[in-house]
Parts: sequence; structure tokens; C-alpha cells
Amino acid sequence: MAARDVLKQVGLFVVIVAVVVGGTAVAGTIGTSTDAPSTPDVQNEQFEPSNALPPTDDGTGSITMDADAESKTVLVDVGHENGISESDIQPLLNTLVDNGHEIRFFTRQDRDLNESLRSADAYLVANPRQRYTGEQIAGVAAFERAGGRVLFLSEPAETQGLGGLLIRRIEQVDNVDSAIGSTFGLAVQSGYVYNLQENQNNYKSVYATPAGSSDLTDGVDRVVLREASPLVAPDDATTLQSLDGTTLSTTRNGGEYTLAAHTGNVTAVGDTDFLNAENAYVADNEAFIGNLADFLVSGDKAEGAPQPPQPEGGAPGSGPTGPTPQPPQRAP
Amino acid sequence: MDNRGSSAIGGRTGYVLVVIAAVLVSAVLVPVVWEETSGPDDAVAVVSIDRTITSSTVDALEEDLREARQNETVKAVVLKVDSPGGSAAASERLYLAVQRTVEADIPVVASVQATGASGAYYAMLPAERIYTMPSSMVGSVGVRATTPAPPYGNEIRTGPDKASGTMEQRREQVETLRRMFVGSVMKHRGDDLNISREEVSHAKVYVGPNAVENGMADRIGTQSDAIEYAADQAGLDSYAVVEKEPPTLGGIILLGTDSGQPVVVKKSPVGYDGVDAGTPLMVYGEVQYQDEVITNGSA
Repeated sequence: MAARDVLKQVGLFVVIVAVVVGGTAVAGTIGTSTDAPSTPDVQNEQFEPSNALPPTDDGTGSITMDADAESKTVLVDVGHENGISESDIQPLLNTLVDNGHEIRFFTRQDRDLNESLRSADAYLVANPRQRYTGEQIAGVAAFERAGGRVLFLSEPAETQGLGGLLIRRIEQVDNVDSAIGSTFGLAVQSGYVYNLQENQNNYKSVYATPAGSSDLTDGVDRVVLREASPLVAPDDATTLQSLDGTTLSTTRNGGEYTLAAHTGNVTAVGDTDFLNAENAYVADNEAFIGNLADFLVSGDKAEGAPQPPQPEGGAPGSGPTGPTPQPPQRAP
Repeated sequence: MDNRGSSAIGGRTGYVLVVIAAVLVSAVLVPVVWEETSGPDDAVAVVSIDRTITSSTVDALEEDLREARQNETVKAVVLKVDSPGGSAAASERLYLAVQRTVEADIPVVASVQATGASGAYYAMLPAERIYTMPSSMVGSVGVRATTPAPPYGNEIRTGPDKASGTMEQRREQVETLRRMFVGSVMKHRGDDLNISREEVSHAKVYVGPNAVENGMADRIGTQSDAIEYAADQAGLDSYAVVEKEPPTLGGIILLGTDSGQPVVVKKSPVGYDGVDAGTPLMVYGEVQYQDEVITNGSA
């Protein structure tokens, strides 16, 4: 057989195989066309601005005081490892200063709280993490009995993560020494309140509304508290309460919780964030802050209270006392 | 004479033999080629969402779903979900891609493995039916983001909100995303849910039986059940199952040493290199942010 014939036969073989296999390949791809059809339209009304955007608060207004009181001295406690800084309550402090009142701070270097209280008319304490001594508790109680105003602020315990990826420790830092509050029949519940139904753009930002009419709620329709602890207070002491349906994080029980209370010369609020510059003008917070400023300077504290401890062999009893023990006054 | 005869026979016979050989070889090759080029007539595509949902993983998943829409042999899609979610934007993209697939009249069924939470739950909302395992964790309808960092003094900015804005702005942004997420849940599952909008917003995860009871999912079942149901919805009696290749790892984990001590740096797969943009996350579980997880192994 000539080489030419062999070549022809090989060529024929290749052509036949190519035609059959190639044809099969072409036929196989028919029906799996990848021509791009148009992308289907989707309708999502939930993404429309009218459905998606939350209402906004313009956060305007001004903090004003009504009290026409002479210059008073407000002692701010930062000496009990307080979980708060001066800037956190700046709007309240500025309002007091603008209206001619004096602010003084009790620091860790000031060893004697009672001595500092003696020259003050009002005492503001927020998130005391360090325990009060028995003498200090007695001193604050005597201060209050003598007509001194006490503003007690607290917020939920903070959770702090310590360590890192491999070793991690979670610690709860309690913000409140319960002894000081219990002196006045007030306590802070553990956990925070939240409301998923009606809130100010976050479940923890709850609305607090007046429980009745009082000077502390004058001009207040609703206050926004960013992270609030409910208070335990006498029934008639509730000043602000949460909306119905608010839930406590620790128990998951729903209800109306006391978020601000007033008894005797003491006012307590279960939040501190409402006092900072970013929150002070949200909703009616500015009106409430103005009322708190009025409360602080509207007392009539007897001079020299709390009295220093009597020397041994002196008058009976020891520890700080007020000049004349009196029943608690409703104020302001 | 003999030579000529032999040559003639060899020539004709040779050609016949060549033709026969060619046909035989072709007969062997044709089934292989047909199989390679045509594939099965009908198929159910299984698309795996099996890790944190990031922009890059969604690139691959969107491509899988686009292919499913364009390939006429793919008659149904099963989403094989095992993910705690991911970035909000990536989760929304995946949701829209799944929704487009449904709109293209391709039945989509979801099958949750261990976890189908947050952004992963968002993505499977348009599915016709959601199957879960008895121990699957389903739900976590919510959004999270880091709070804005305090102003950094050593920098000049052209506006007060240039770097991160205020806490209230961040709160509004997160709330907007929550509303859209919850709105999507109500849109797709509102008729099935036995829990209120507020309970959905609680962002709880539910184990399989709970999820079926409250309507966050539809059935307890395996991936096979999901495939069978998807095929049934597509009207298929016989079909092939085509498993799409899962996307590659989105996060980066670096291991190194610092002063002889082991150091682990895990980079968030949903952030940006060197920038904390407060990326909103739709993720269930504890998140290790970029600036949070540098630790000494003995710490």
C-alpha cells in the first residue's frame, strides 16, 4: 500500500471522528444556551424611605431654670470611683453656673465627705462604685434631714470584657453602692429596661412619662433615657415611669417601671446618659434637666449640717447629725 | 498481478476498515462528549451559603444564582445554609439575588444546617420553604454596629461628621437597617409567623422545632427533603443534583509572634483594612472586631 493511500485513510478516519464527535458536542450544547435573560425586577416596599426611615428628633431647645433662689452650692461627688465624668453632666452643671450657683467637687483627695457637705446646699452623686463608710452614710442622711437636696443618679451595671481572643473574662461592674440609696428608701434594680414597641430609635432608649403632676415634671411630656435601671421606691414617690410594655432585661417581665422618684429631699433617676450634651435636648429632656437644677437649689438647708462627731464625753451619740431632726419635706 | 490485486483489495478494504474503525471510535467517544456537553436534562442546583457573608462571598453566590437563572437545565435551587450572617450590605445583596431567582420562576428552597441566623436568615427569606434540622439555630433578626469612636485629636477633618458622626446618627442608621430587615421578614413570612413584629425584633435565635412552631421556618427536614421538595415544585420526576462550589474563605487569620510570645491577630472578614467604618453587621454571635483581638497567648 502506497504511503499516499495510508495518508488518505488516516485523513478519512480523522474527518469521520471529528464530524461525529464534533457534531455531538454541538448538539449537546444546544439547549444549554447561556444567553442572558433580562434580570428579573423585584419590588421591595420595605426599602422605601417612608417605611425604612425612623422619625428623627431635632434635639433643639434650651435648659432654663425657674427657681429664683440665691446662690447655692452644689457638691458633685467624684470621690467614690463614680462611673461618670464632669463632661457627662455638663449641661446640668452649666445651667447651674449660668444661674449664679456654685459647683464644687468632692474628690478622693477630699478625705471628709461630711466636711464638704457642711458647706454645701445640694449633693449630686452618680454611679458610686466605691462603698460609703457608715459615717458618710450617716452624714448624707443628716444632710438630707437638714434640708439639703440630694440628687442620686444611677445606671445599669456595665459589662467589661477583659483579656482577648484566647483568654477572655467578662466582669460586671456595679455602678451603685446600694447602701446610700437604701438610706432614703430607694434602691436600683439590676438590669436595664427596654421597649421594642415604642422607643427612640433603639430598644434601650425608652420613653419615661410623668406619673403625676409635680415641679419635677413641669413642662415634661416625655423624657428619653438611653439605658435606664428601674428604681425601687415608695408607691407615691414615682415621678417618671416607663411606658406600658416596657421590659426589664433581667426578668423579662413587662410593665411600667419607676425611672425617676422623689422622696423627702431626695430625687433619684435611673439613668445618667440623659444629662450628657448629646441627649440633653432630645424630647423633653431639657425641661426635665431644668427642673432638676431647680430642685437642687430650692432647698433650705440648715447651716452647719451635718455636724461633726461630738468629742468623747460630749453630747450623747456620735457621728454626723443634723441640727434638728425633722420629718422629710416634700420638695420642691 | 498479485501485487496489483493485493494493492486494490488493500485499498478498498483499507478504506472500509478505516470507516468502521472511525465509527467504532466515535461510538466510544460520543457518550462521553454528550455527557460533557449536554449534562442531564433537568437539575436541582445546590448553592452553599456556608460561612460569614461578605462582599466577596456574595460575588460568588450571586454568580451561582445568575447561572442558575440562565441555565435552562436548572429547574430549582436549594440554598444549603450554615452561616451566622455577615455584613448588612452583603446580606442584603444575597437576599436580592435569591429574590431575583424566585422572580425568575425558579423554585428556591432553603435547608438550614447548624445555623441560619441574622444575615443568612435574611438571605433565605424569599425561599418557598425553609427546612431546618432539629438542632439548627434560626432567626436573630437584628443589626449591630460599633459605636462611633471619640474624636481623634491628631487629625484635621473637613466636617464634624467626616470620620464617624454622632451616636444618634449611628443609632438612626442601625434602626433604619433594622426596619428594613424586619420589614423583609414580615413581607415574606408575615402570613406564617405566630409571633409579633416586636418579638421578631427581639433578635432571638430559635432551635428547629421552635422555629417551625413560630413560623420562622417551615419544616424539620434534611437537605434531601429540601431537594425533593424543590424538584417537586419544579415538576421534575427525574433530575440531577448539581452542587455549586462554595465560595472561598472571606476572612483572614494571621498567626505570628511578638517578642517570642504567641500572638493571634484575627481580622474581621467584614471590615476594611485599617479603617473602622462602623460597618453594620447582621451577625449572630460574638464578633471579634479588628481592634479588639490582639492578645498575648498567655494573657
